[in-house]
Amino acid sequence: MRPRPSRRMRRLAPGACAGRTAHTTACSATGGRFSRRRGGRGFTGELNEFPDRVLSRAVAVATLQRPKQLIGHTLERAGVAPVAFDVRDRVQALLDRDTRLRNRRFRAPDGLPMPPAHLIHKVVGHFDYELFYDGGVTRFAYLRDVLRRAGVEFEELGSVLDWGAAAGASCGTGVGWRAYRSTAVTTTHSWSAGAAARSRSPGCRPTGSLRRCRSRTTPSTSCTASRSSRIWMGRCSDLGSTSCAGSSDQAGTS
Amino acid sequence: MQRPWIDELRRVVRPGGHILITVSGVVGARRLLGDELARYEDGQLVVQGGRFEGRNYCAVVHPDAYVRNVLAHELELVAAVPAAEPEFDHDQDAYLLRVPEGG
Repeated sequence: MRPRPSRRMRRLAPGACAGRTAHTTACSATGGRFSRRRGGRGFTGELNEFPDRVLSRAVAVATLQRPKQLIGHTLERAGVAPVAFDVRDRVQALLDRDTRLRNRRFRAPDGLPMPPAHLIHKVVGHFDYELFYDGGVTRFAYLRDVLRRAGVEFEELGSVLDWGAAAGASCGTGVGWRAYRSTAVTTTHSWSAGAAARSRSPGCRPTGSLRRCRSRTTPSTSCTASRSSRIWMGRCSDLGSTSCAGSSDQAGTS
Repeated sequence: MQRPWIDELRRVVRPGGHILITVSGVVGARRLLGDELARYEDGQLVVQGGRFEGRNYCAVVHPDAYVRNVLAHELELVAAVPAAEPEFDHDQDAYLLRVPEGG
């Protein structure tokens, strides 16, 4: 079902034809009229003939992107964008009673506890347990399919180094760990830089640390000791995995 | 920032081992406009919100050419799966790389 054009869209759509005659190219094909008849907010005329590309582009550009970009750029210039968006997301989550209820009832099919919602939000940008869990399963299936395309079976890998948090590496969020648990891979290394994840990871204990730059995205080897802190490596004993414990000089990952 | 990371991954993976990376690419490019879109189409890396590097508010869009010519440099490209492929319901492009034997 086609979404109802917003009030702003209704205002902007006639203007899209400015400078064109009534029967030229895109304008003639988009000759619908916004009307307040039949319920007051209807779009009558040739709505079904409204080309998708025109409608979607107009909606995206005129209705969504410009105001959002403007607000985003303003907040970014002021240096408060992360805080502002974080507050917005949290307020939305607080007001979203359905999601909170579903989270309370949700039990992960694999039997493992779910990480706290605020950590899930840090990784994937929402607070929904079920969506997070399903997303992890889907991502793992996706990665396995990519490997399979190249003739590599995930289960045949001797060891895995899962690097980075967003795609499911850290014990704290557990997207990757949960999936690896169901495979025959015996050795899984997970590197996580999240202190919050460390403190809330059931069954995960620190086994070592690495030097890492204060910039969260810089590899450990490319900064001097004076600019570095420690990166944490965890061992998830309850998942039947072992972990590297030592330095970044360890190799042997396939 | 991508270069030091891929160099580090290359360093810790044994010869013949695989590196599977996913990057924001074709799907991320759909929200680009103007100069950013032009840079993307020219094969250049597009960084949005660079001031917030390391946070979710920093987004980096990788053209296929950039991954092949820069990130996969000195590595063997085993497979490239764009997110746009209908059988893969995913929002990031995936690249499977291999560290050359004896490399």
